[in-house]
Amino acid sequence: MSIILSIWTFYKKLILPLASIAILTGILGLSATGSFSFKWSGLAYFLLTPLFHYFIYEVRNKNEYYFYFNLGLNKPVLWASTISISLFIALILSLI
Amino acid sequence: MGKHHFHKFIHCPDPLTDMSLLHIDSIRKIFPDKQLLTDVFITCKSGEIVGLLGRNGSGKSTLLKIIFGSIPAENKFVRIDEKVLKGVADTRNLIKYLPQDNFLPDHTKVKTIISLFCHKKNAEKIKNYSHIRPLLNRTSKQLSSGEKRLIEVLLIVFSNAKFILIDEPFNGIAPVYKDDIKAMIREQSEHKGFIITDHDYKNITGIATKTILLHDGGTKQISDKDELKHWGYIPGTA
Repeated sequence: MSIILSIWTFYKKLILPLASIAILTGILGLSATGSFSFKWSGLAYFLLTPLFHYFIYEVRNKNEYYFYFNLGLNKPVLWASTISISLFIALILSLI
Repeated sequence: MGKHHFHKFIHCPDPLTDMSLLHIDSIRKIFPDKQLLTDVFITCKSGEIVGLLGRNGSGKSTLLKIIFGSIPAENKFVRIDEKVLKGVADTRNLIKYLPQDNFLPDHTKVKTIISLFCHKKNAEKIKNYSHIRPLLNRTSKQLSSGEKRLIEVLLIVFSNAKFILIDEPFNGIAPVYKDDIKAMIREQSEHKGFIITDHDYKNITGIATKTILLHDGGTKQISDKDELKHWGYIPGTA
């Protein structure tokens, strides 16, 4: 349970920037096609995940990794978890 | 000590006292311009506070990171009792490490961070500490760097790990908290082993049960202040 909470704490930081871009993409789709595109929002959310993960954790807050290392999570696990959660969210968005 | 001698020193935890042994051996770290660590050997038992001293750039922080598993080394052997540790995923609940720089996630409330890090009993101890109580509902972003450091030190010291590695714990800490922290380390060392570095050797020698000096990439066990003078760590002649 504490591992799930730790991964969620790590992922939470990515939600706001990713959701903002995803909504923006949906709105751009709205202006082009006349309807809000959840499919494109989901795709943008997923494809931008590695970029935001890299920028937020590898560039801006590199030392925060030590918090998660101390909870027994290494970098490959953290990367895999963000990609997996984003894929899950993107799939849900694309099914709407 | 070479790798081939390890089996002679395999230590099993004593079921009566729950004593553990952290065995660090053959650590070698080379940077492009210099060999920083050369065959480093340190042991730390539960109940011990090992003070790790060394001049700036001698490799203290690098050594702690290698033991913790967050950076690679050309060669290393780290074992707790019968378990060999190769990376940070192996150190869960065995080793906790306090780096020099702040590491708290800045978007999370202090009370959540404490609950994630420590068992209920120790989490309550930290939350009830008079200097921490007013900070519980703040996020780490809203704290000063001294407040962050105090929380980080307490999280690591009261964590449920068998061994604690602390790099510069008193850096940025107000003098009024220093004695409290030393007392907490002493209290927690009844069940855990500590390896501590600090730029001020007096902070270390005051609490350490064993002092080790990193010098020319190797370790020297120090028994008194004259030896620190002898190895050129503090001024004066022995």
